[in-house]
Amino acid sequence: MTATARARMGIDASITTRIGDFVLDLDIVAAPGRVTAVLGPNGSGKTTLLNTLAGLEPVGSGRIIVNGALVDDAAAAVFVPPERRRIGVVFQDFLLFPSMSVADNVAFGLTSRGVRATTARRSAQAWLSRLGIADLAARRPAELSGGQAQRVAMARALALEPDALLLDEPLAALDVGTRIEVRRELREYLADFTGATLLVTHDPLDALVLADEVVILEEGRVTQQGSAAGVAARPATDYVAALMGANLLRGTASEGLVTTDDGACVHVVDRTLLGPVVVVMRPEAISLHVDRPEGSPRNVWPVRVVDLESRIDRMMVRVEGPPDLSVAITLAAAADLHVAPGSALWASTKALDIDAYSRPLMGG
Amino acid sequence: MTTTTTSHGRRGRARALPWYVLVPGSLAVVFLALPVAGLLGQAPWGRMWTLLSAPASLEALRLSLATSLLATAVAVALGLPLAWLMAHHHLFNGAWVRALVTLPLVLPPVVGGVALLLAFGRRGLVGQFLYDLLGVQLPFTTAAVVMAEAFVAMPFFVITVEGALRSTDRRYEQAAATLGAGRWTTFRRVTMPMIAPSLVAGTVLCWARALGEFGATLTFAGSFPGVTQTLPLAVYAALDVDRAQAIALSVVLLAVSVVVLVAARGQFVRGLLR
Repeated sequence: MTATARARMGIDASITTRIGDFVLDLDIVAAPGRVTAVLGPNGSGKTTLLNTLAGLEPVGSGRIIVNGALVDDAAAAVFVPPERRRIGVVFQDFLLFPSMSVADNVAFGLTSRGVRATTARRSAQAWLSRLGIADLAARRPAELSGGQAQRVAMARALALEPDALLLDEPLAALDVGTRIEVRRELREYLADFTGATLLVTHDPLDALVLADEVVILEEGRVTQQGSAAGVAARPATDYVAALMGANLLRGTASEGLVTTDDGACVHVVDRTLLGPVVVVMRPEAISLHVDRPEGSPRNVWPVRVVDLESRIDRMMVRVEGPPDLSVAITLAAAADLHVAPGSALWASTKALDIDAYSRPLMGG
Repeated sequence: MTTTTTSHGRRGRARALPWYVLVPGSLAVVFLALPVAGLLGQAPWGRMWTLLSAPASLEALRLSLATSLLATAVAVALGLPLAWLMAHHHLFNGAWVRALVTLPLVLPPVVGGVALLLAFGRRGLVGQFLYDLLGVQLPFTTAAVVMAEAFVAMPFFVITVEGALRSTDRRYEQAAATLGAGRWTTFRRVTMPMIAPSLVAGTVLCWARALGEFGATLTFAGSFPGVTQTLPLAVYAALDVDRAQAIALSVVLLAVSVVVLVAARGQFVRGLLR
């Protein structure tokens, strides 16, 4: 264990693991007392990352340090098995032991570590009370609702007072109604947890609500990381942009004019940008017109409607240009414009509504 | 069976059953039922207790019970680790191990007995060393009965349990590991409860097979009253001498089989199909 390793609390991992054609290759740091969300599409390597941190799979190469202790290092032939890692895991489908009562499930970790049964039981009961499910103690997992099972799984992981907590899609198994409630609760429990929390999810809402830090994982690599708000405001890849609902255009900037890769001209405010840039436009900031608009907007493009999708309060219109855009308009506007697939329209937006920044080195 | 009748019932009376199915099918039922009926019909019910409590019967019963339970214990003690290895370790997952485990199921028991003799007999593969070095002679002893029974019965346990282990969700074991449980704790507290029905079924099937063992026992252990003459051997021996006693002992074995059938249900078949 090196001095720097000892100084660093939380999770500090540098992992390269090859599974067939897939390569997971990332550095990740999760600070104690903070929630780090790993957000990525299916097949991006989220579960492999989680399993590797938990010790269910060894790293191919690299090393994992948890609260200053080296738990996995391929080069140094160090591998601490999961049962000695002190990392709590809440699995996507909870994996509560079906033959045990809720109380026994929560006490399991303690009894496994040699705590006396009565002590473990008392501790389990305390955790159940803390999570507001003391009355479920005698139930079997099969008799629990999804939300209840989620709380039991949390209690079971927290009862061991782990150094770090890994949550694998903690809300994915729940129905939409329960999800909102459990997400709010989860936020409270995680705020009380002093160790590092790593939350793996494909739902940006989980990341935005629960996490302090967001790491975007795509095809085994980190493509963006930062605060949740920062990542939402400045998506670096198509995946993040689509996730956040924003339009993302790549291009080259020169003196306030960006020429996108598909050939559109976009005026931006920042005249100092030079070279490869990313342009972000929120769908709400774009308007559609039947005739070429006159006036202040300097960005005007002839477009053709490809697709329509009505939401509760708005119509999402996919248009192809260049540039190809997602546009949000009111239902009234949609009626006025007679938008239908194939209609030729004009799209416009003010330069002020466009965010442009130098293309990040990572990903892209 | 129940599902067949209900689904058939639902289809209604409109469709007549073809005779070429109904006739041979019914014939099969009669063929299977008749021997049981014969056994039960001719059983000396009035003298049952006297016959079974005769010293010779009690001796065979006691010997059978002791050897079959011991053989089952051996089969479980060795078979459970083997089942685990076959389910989870590539070295034990090959066709060879599988064939070897299944072999006693299809091998004529007499051949099994001959094979045991050639392995553990005084001049056998291992037997010669046992005899020369330790002075141990296995054939025609009670120990040989246990060995013959275990050899023939172990596959029933291994196959049933291996199938169950293979189909358990191993992520529960992973979850247990993240909760600080070592491998043995995990197996005992998480895996065992999940495969409990198959463990029970496998043990019961194994015991039943051990209890009924005849061919391998006769060949490897002989038929010496009080030493190696188990129930099935006693039935066979009594058939010429005292028919009533043979039938009485047969009824005992039949009763055990019925109980086992109910207890084990479909677990073994599921194991075989995997």
